[in-house]
Amino acid sequence: MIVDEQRTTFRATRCHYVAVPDVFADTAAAKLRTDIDARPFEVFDVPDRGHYETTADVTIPAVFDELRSLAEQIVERPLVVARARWQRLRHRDYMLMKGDAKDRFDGPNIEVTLDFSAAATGGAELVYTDGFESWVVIQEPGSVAIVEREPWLYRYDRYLNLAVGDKVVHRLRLTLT
Amino acid sequence: MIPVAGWKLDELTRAWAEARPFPHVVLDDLVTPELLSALLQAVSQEPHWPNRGEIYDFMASHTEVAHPTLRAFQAALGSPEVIAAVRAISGRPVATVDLRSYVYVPGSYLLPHADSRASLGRLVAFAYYIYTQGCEGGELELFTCEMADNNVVRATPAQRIAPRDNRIVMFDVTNASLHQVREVLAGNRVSLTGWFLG
Repeated sequence: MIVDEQRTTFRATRCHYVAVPDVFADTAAAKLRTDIDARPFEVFDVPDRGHYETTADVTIPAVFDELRSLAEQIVERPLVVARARWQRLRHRDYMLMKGDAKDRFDGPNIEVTLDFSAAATGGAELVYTDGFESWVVIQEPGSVAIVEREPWLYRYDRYLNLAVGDKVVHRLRLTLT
Repeated sequence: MIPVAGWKLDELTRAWAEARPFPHVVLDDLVTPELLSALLQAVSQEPHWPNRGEIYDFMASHTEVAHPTLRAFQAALGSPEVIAAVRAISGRPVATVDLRSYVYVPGSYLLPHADSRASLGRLVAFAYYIYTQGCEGGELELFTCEMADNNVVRATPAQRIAPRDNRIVMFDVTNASLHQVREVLAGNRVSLTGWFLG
């Protein structure tokens, strides 16, 4: 029933997207943070594209499968994981559309973003836009955003200002085809 | 209103050309303290609205300022004397002035970008600070850019200019003039900011 509503939401706007809350429990998210924080991250620092920590070198099949399965129920077609990006963002971090444009997957895809942060920041929004109209995903730990990446759709990850304090945003972004 | 006759054009022209990472000049004590006070009073009476987008979050006036004192200041910046001076300093064929009033509060920012859009005719950008007391952060930061195919491939901070009451900063507008306003961490930063247009 809930999935039916989420399918409807996903199709409701020109940008096909839905944010599914409470996919990951606090304990599962905490374990994932511990696993991921033990891995080496690189700092991405190109000022007109973004500033954040990232790694693409971690595969956790159980997590990938859970997110893929959820996305398949929403979009109602089989999907495979094409790539994964793990991100950590703190105060002063951001990712701009120029960064998205340089990094975007070539071809139709479903973008799935898991937020496994310890706490909500009150910021850290994902903004999808065609340059005129915007669709905003509010940051909520444990939630998953599922977005159909049309060629005209770009994304930016909003700058984290001093309001985030010392909180850290943890994200896993999967590209599914 | 703006005592251009006191500007040392030779020095400013040389400073512009020699400035790194790209041409710019910093001029302190632009107007009299009385006019500075009047401008601050005018900004306090000018409506400002929250502006939030991909690269910015601040309060700004309408694109056309309304208060007579602000309009008079805009006209003074666009006067033949000031235009001639800015042309001499920058070597750019500026002709008119576009400005808005901006209020940065704690958490406000403007992320790295270049103002260059040929269709808009922006040749020289400026930021004139009218209230910065107690402001932490809010510096204008200029980047050295490594370019390829007209795109920035690498950029490093090269110059940080502190906001200061009655200071104007003017800088060249090109695809490589990457700059930002660092996040304000405390206090307020009030400025009149815009472009000399061709």
